[in-house]
Amino acid sequence: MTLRKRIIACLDVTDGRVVKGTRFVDLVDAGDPVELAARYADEGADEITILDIGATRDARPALLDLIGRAATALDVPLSVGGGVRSIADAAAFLDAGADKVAVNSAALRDPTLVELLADRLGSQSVVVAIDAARSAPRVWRVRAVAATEETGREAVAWAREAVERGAGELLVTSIDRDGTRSGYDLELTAAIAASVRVPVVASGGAGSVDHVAEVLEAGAAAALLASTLHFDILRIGSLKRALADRGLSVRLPRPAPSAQQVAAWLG
Amino acid sequence: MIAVVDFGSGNTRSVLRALAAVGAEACLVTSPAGIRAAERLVLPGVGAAPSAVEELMARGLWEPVRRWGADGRPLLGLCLGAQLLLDGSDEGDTPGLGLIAGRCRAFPSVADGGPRQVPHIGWNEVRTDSGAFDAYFVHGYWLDADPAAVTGWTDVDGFRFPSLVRSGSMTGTQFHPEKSGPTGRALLSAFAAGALDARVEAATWS
Repeated sequence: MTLRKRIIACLDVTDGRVVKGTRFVDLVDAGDPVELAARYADEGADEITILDIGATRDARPALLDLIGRAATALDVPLSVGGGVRSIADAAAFLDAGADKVAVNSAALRDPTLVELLADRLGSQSVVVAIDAARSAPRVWRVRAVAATEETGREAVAWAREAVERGAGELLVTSIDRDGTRSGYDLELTAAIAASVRVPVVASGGAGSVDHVAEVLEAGAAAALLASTLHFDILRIGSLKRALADRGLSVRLPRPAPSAQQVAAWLG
Repeated sequence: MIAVVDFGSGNTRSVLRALAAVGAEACLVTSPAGIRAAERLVLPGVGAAPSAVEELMARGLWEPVRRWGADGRPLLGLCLGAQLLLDGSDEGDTPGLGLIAGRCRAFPSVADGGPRQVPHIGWNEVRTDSGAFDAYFVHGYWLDADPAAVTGWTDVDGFRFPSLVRSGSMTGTQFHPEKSGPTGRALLSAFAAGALDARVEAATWS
């Protein structure tokens, strides 16, 4: 036995609503974030990720309120990202109820931010999110600011650097596959997972059970799903049972045990 | 009333939230008087042992918590809170409450049979004599507790460590019940309802 492979439900949020696009554009409404987060947790999601893709400073109080409501509704860990530029931003997310904070563009502008965050909050709470697009065979370039800005950085090298600086987890999104439901970028995930010793969360491209199984087998510690869940193409319960049938170690959704059962377990 | 010991630890509020979600009446306590007035005590904790011990001592809470446990009153230690129940920790060579025999140790290196990834973060299985359940872990040190007090074990990459310790009405979980789905909520609910308290032995009747 070892750590379970995780299934993470991701909610891209702007103006208090869940939205989902394709390749970071063409957004459509997908529901209320707190309702969806609670539903996915009930169905067996191992973790919920909320990404504020609007990430404007004006919307910050509303986002903190949303984090608090989501944390109250959830019995699994919550990760939050979007617009984190400082320790104060990250600490505000944690205070509001997040367990982990994802940082992306600001870390690319100033990589020492990762060290500061890890030092202050502990690596276990610091996720570095990497949005990468394939530029040549087995070469991926990192983009910033919701994938609109080239950074000139190569994805595997940036992943290594982020971990050296203290990232406790990497959230790796394939820009090419985002929202396409054509499968994760397995090579990208495998290349990064083989280069670092922290969990790699694969994101972008989930469309079927096979896609999820393949990326977990390729070395991802967790698979992140968004539109495939929002639009009911996959359900977490049946997805996890299918993964278990393929021999992957996952936490199967179970009803709450009775107090007698808990007392017996605890001895 | 369940008192959650507040020594500035990061998960204090999520523990309070989870207790509220299972319908338990819980509050934060920051003073020795608050502890004395409680019916049950939760010792939460994430982060480093040295600063937790320092903070508990600075707030005058160390001795009241120790006495509470020594008196056999219902106590639930979560993650770092469970680690503090032992005699001490290798993390900064910190003293423990000495309520359960044992010591907190760093995971060994991969070459010495330790886990591939440290800290141990994520969902893993807790195995007990009467079945297994999944729970959420975040920790870099493990409970090297007296096997007599261990009722649950977890395995990561072939390294097996105690994840549940019990002694009388005292329970320590290396995992985070407040983040462990319906099972974790059920554990908190069972603690709140007294289902984890030591039962008076039938022999005391005569």
